[in-house]
Amino acid sequence: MTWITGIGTISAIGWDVASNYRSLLEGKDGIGYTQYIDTYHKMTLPVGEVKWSNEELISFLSLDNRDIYSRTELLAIKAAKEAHDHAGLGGVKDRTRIALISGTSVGGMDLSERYYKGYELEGKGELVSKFRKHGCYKHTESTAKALNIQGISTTISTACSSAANAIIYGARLIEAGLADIVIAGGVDPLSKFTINGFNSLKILDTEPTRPFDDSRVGLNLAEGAGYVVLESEQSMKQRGVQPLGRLLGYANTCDAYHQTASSPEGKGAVLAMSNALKMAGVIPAEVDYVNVHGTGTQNNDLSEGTALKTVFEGKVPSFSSTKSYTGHTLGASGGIEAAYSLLAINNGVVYPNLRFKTSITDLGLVPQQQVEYKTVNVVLSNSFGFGGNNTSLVFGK
Amino acid sequence: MEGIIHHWFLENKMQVQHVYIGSSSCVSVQETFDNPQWFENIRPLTAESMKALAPDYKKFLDPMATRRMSKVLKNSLLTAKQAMEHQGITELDAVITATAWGCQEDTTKFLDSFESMGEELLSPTSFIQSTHNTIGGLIAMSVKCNGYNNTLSHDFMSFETALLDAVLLMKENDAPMNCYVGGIDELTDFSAGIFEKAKCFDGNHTITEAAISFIFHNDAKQHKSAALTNITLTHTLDQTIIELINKNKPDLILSSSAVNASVPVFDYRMLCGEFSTAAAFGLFLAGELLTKEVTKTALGLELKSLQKIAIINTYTEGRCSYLEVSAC
Repeated sequence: MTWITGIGTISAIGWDVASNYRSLLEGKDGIGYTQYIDTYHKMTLPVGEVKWSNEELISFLSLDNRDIYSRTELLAIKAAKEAHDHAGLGGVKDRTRIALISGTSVGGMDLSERYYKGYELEGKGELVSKFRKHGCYKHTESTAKALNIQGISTTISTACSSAANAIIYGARLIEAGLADIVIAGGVDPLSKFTINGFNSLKILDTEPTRPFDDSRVGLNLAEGAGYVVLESEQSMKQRGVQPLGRLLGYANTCDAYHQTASSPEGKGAVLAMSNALKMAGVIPAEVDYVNVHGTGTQNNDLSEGTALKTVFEGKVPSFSSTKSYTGHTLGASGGIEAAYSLLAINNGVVYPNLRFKTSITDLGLVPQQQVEYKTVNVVLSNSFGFGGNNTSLVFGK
Repeated sequence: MEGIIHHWFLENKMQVQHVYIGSSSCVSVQETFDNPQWFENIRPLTAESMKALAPDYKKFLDPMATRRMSKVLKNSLLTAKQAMEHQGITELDAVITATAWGCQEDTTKFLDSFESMGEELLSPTSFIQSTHNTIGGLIAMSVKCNGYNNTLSHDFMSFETALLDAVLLMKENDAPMNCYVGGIDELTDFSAGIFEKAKCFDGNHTITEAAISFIFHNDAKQHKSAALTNITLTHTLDQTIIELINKNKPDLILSSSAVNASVPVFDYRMLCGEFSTAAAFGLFLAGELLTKEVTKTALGLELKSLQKIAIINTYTEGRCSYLEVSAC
């Protein structure tokens, strides 16, 4: 049995878990124009940017300001530290029993892209060192160092399902007895690379995104980090800490249909959701809330909606896309949304899907439209990505 | 940072089942692809960096379907298909890919496109093919595998932690599984320049690339070239690893590090060069040594009997891995 004993987030809607939660209840999104990315699209494509600068993050984290940090590293350390402190891991003496598994799609791309052209033109020796932060693993090792985590560390890069897959990997380490505690989640920074990439696919909205609305045209790209602390029952009891919830089940499947598009029937999504529920020993009717992937693209929402109707046999429970608040944080989204799922369970609340007006014609699905307090025992959280990577997690009380 | 973090004897602790290496396929700087006798003609690695020998793609892959694919995608797809063919299987239950640097060619191509042409009217192809999980997605698509799909990207520990993922997955599922595990890294002119100048590697080996595909399974009745008998992840090549060596008594150690034990050590990076998932070549070579008696003679290894081989990797700062495979 894997328990969750801590959460940490940083996103466009807040510096920490408490402020993220406040924004969710107040219906306050974090979508706006970028302050930090020097892109042609800075006044036309709104994004979900973390409001604090790298300098502010470095200062808050008391890092050596003579070093160079990717934004990826800074966001990861900030959120992982919050989860670490929330779970009271500072008191854990045997640091080798704590593992760190993190997901990211672009790693240190925010730094690499800044120096790429200069390097290509001049090949300056000093610019070379900037690329040392490019690797996906860099932020994981930096976070492990900052938090003195001495257990297994690895990094997962499955695009938008990276953090959710990191949580699965972490849970398996605990089940196998290879760690007592795992900090698991993910991070991604905004970058010119991803803004232009998603723009070239013509799936970015020039307005704040409208997930699951018939008029939706695309997503808002975003950044952030989200981590949960997974812990074995024995360790939790020994430390005398209270859990926030349990990871009841999980499934990672592949749509195997197209590199960027989901299959019309959502084959991989159906398998991910139904296998995760099966593992959790939960029947669809027992799910109180679904935190959908809900990017706000034509393709995802139609495919995911179709899959929801299949899995829940037409009786889809309360669901919403919190990407209507945060934007799509890519590899971080599964970690941030895992934290939101646990907040839903602990506070007995479900969040609205902002800016919804009209159901998608072929689906007729209506997402949650206002904050509603109710008993939330089971939450299903979806993270679907490029490459057909589909992951569903089931959290319980 | 010292001490053991993960010390796991598959034989002792994982009583559920054994994990076997079935068939493999390897594109590298040696003539390993589609050539069982590759070791009879070893190419010396003398340059600072060297690309892999390109297979005759059109002989194996549909040129139309693969025309937009980068080298790393073609090599991955090709070796995955060939490993499956050699194993005599047409379906996979899981696809697990290890790649530290992912799809470099497409990444730099996309960077180039917006740096040189501006940020309008860009073609999405190179962006689509730039993510690390493009490889795993492609393999899954090519064989219609809806099962588990993961991509590990942790520097020199990418391959070892991918192997661990495969083992944990098999442990979770009681049924027999065929699990693809690939160790894949691509070298481009740009990345070669960065690696050379930034001294990402140790400087003692030629910087190279490879795509190495394995079929791992847990079915004793299927074809198997070796059994995976130990994965240990620690921080340094210290007493813990030495004790492990003294206890398990491998006949040979494949490593580029100095190992203070009375077991012969062969630096396999002299053959495959240096790339972040080179441990996959170590495992490939171990399989060859355990199944083909002539390999060790060709490589100049004067050893009588080879039953157990360890692969030790210490390249990521503060991380050390010990893999062990046994004849079966």
